[in-house]
Amino acid sequence: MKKVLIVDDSAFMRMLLKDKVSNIGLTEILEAANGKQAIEITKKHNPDLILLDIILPDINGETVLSNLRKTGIKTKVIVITAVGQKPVIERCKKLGISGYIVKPFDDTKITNLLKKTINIA
Amino acid sequence: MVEELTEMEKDVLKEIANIASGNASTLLSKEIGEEITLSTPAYKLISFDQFEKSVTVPKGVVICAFAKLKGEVLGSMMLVFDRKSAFALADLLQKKKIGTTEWLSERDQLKLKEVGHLVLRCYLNAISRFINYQLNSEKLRMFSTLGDAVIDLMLLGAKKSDRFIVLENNFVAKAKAHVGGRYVFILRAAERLFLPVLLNK
Repeated sequence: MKKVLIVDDSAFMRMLLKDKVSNIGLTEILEAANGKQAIEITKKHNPDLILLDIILPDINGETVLSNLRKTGIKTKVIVITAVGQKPVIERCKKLGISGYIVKPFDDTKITNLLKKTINIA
Repeated sequence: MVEELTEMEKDVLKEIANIASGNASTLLSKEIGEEITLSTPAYKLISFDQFEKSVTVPKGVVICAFAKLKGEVLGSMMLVFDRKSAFALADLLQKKKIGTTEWLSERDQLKLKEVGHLVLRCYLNAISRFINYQLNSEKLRMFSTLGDAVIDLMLLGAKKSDRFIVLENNFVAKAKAHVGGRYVFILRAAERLFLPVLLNK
């Protein structure tokens, strides 16, 4: 069973994303409400996919991603954020993300990207 | 008396502010060719009497874009800059050398007003998308005034018994010039009535 970690400070957004993830049959879902938790949970549970917000209350999503990559963690990451600024997208791409979705997101787009990233037909 | 909102209700409101300010910053960043850093939105539920102390407006002269919501949800949106940031933003928007603007010409004001419209549109879109009906605003006004006067304006038409939901976050661009501003979004607390619609969507 594949594990997905949802990182967003909004419980409401985590609930929406959980819904999308479970709709494609992934039931092992972990949650983090800030950057520090995201790093700890990733190191402890080694998820197959991380859905990562950028604006977080402690350290931002970009720093989380950079920190994970520096410690050799190559988990697939899809960034889901309200920040659609080009320099941020470019820096995240350089850190090896599988996708970047700007909120408010389109349901079909996110479902398709999730399926593609986690290899579900 | 309006009771404190539930954690989920607060969360939804913060997410609306997050999406609106994030989208607005993306558009503004394109306009000025600068990266904009955003803070997470802060939520407050305050009374009329607490308003002045609780809503953060820079001291001294501020440049402000302000619009009241109208229709099914009553509230207002404000974009506020200190004078120095507004001048730097006017320079960036018109690709002028930083430091050129020393007072706001009609054209500068027009450019800043366009930014105000862009931010307002992002807030209206974010709310409309979540609550599933169209929101409108009164005409956006742009003005230069003292910080305290902005508070008076936001309270215009409010009753002493009213309570307010305030969502605020800061943004800053600092590569070519320091431009710091604040997004402030206010709903009369009685407007929480729209939240169940949103949560049951």
